[in-house]
Amino acid sequence: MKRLIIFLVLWPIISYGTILEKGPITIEGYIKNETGWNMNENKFMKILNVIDLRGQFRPNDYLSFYAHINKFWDSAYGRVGEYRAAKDDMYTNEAWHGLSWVREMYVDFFSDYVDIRAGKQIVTWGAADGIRILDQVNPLDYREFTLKDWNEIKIPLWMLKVEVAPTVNGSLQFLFIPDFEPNYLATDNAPFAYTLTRNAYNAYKRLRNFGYHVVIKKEMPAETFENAKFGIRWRDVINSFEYTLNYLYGWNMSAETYSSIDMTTATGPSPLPGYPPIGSTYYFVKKYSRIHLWGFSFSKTLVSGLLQGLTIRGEFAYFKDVPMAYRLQSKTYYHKVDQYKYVIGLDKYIVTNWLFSFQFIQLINSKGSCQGQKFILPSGGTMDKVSTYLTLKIATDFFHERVKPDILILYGDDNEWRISPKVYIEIGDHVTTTIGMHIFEGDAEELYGEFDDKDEIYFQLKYSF
Amino acid sequence: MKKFLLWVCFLIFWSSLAFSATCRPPDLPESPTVEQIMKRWFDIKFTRYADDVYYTGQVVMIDKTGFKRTKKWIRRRLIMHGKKGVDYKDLVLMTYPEYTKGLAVLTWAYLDVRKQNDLWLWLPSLKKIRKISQAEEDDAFLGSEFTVEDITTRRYGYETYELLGEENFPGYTSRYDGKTYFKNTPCYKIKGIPNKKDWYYSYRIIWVDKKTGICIFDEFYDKAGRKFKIVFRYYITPEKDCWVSKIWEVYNFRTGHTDCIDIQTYKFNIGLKERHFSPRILERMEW
Repeated sequence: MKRLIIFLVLWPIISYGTILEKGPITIEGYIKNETGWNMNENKFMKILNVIDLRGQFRPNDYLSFYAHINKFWDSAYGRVGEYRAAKDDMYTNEAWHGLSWVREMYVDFFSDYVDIRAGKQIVTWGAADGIRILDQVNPLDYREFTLKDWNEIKIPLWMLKVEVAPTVNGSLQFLFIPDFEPNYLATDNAPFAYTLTRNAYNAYKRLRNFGYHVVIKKEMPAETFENAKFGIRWRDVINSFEYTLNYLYGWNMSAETYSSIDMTTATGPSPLPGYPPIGSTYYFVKKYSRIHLWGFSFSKTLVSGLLQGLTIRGEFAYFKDVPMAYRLQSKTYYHKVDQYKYVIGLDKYIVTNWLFSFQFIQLINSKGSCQGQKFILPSGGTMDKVSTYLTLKIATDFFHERVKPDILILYGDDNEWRISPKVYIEIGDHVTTTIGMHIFEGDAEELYGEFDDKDEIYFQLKYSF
Repeated sequence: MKKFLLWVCFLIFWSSLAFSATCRPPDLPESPTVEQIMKRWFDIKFTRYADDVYYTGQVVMIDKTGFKRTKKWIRRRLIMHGKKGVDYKDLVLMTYPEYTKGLAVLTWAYLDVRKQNDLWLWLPSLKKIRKISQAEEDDAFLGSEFTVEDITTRRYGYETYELLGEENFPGYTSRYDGKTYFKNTPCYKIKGIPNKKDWYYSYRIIWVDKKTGICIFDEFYDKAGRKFKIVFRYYITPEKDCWVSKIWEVYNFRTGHTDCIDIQTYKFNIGLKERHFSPRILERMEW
């Protein structure tokens, strides 16, 4: 019924058929279907229907109000048996705490020297593609891993962004973020649930089957001034060399889970030696830690000389005090380490309209282990002290840019792969479609190899208005 | 004292004349050389006669079956008059259709013809700025039959010119609006040969309106001497007001594809500043 009402409300706008611009008001949007099929297990991975609506009121050049609504339903969660169990975890108001249908809503003030944006928004830092090095302001929605455009999987936050421009090309950005949201992970039984998530759910289930109480608590930082995130970024362009210097005092967006047992609720004897009495309560408390990030990014296009047309870009980030999990005697512990992450990228058009974009990425931990135990990846495997990834993206277009194929190839030094070819087609001014695949290869304990049995072929159909 | 004040007033008046913004090019000399004609044409092409310009427009793409697609945009350009070796800075913002809305390109173009442009792209799907390499100059501009060079990069110094003579232009009937333009207009007929070897055209014949000095028509020839593409341009050139490009139309004989850039509104010398053309401005984009 709710869906019908939303549809009826939106119908006059949809049927208008084009972007509505009346004086200072602009309204536009799209409806979209995304259907994904698991090629290994022959079942749906998603049947996602999306309504997206954006509106702007711009009374003058200095002021603007903007709102963006995005509502989606994934019918695969009703159709595919095992996903049905994930539906309650992923499609309830509680689960959607950070995934509100009000995606962005802010007011802008623009002037020659100061720009202010206040409200729910997305802020992007850095120059890397497809991987987060400096870009740590907004948390991510990992419902579909990191397969979608970042704009779609970033979780917007309420914040104040002030950009002061003391020089022609130089600007200082201040971020004040009283809002907190963690990364949103796909829950157990969902197509892209991490192994660690599945293991945790299985453990809760086993404990309940034994007759224990299980309480899972999220201790999110209170939304107070003391808990706010603060960011600062200086950006300048000197002789076409662009650079940024960044600092973020934020939160680790992945939770640390600490367990404890309360035996005062016990009702019977221990079921097994070494286990607490039946009826005891297991508490699993998810906590979040403060982290510091310092970094810089740069980009430069060589506009003359032998390497003319080559763009070199890069970014580096130093993270202080990142809690890393390790396991010792079947228990999870956390140890704070420093991390260094960087990417170097090279982009060039070769043969008219073929873009080649290559990236070299390294993620380095200050320590490789704690108490002789290596740190754990979300996939359940162990993390190397230094992890190296290479990416190559090739893109072109045909038929007057109506058909745009591209391919992204990612290789990890533990012999894991992600290969994502796609073809985007503009059918007309309002209808576009995309057909693509995500192929994963590698050891099941590696970050990408974990989804080795989740090779996906997908189809998107979008009608814009 | 009075004399001094008079001098001050005169100086202020003179300087205001000297630096007042114009929106029309200076006249061509009576018997111009081919270099003078082409240099002046490129000044008109890049509106170097003004301080800044604001356009809204659309590209209509018509394939051989008659199927049309439209893309709309807003463009702001600041003429740098050679400051720091920069020719102009330019910001193009796509406004239609929805799936390209918000895409914005910031360009810094240099006077040195050997230098490529610096480009920044605002990508709505990533909500971020990307420094990008300039597309190859023979690549299609926005997917049209225009090349990047036709629209943004070809400047004086890209070609060698030869004045073939003077001739009346036979007229051109637009595939976009069906009107016939410039019938029997006296023109300079010029041959332009690209300085690049093995380029996508071997030469072009350029028809320049003798009265306005505007390049109204180009014919592109391939290595075999076959005409494969034509470009038509119509500018609004009133006696006492701003000169502005109205229609640029291209037709490719090989593909049967026509594209038309139609400028719909324009304003000159609105006081744009250099700080309006920094990457910071791209982050203002809502879309």
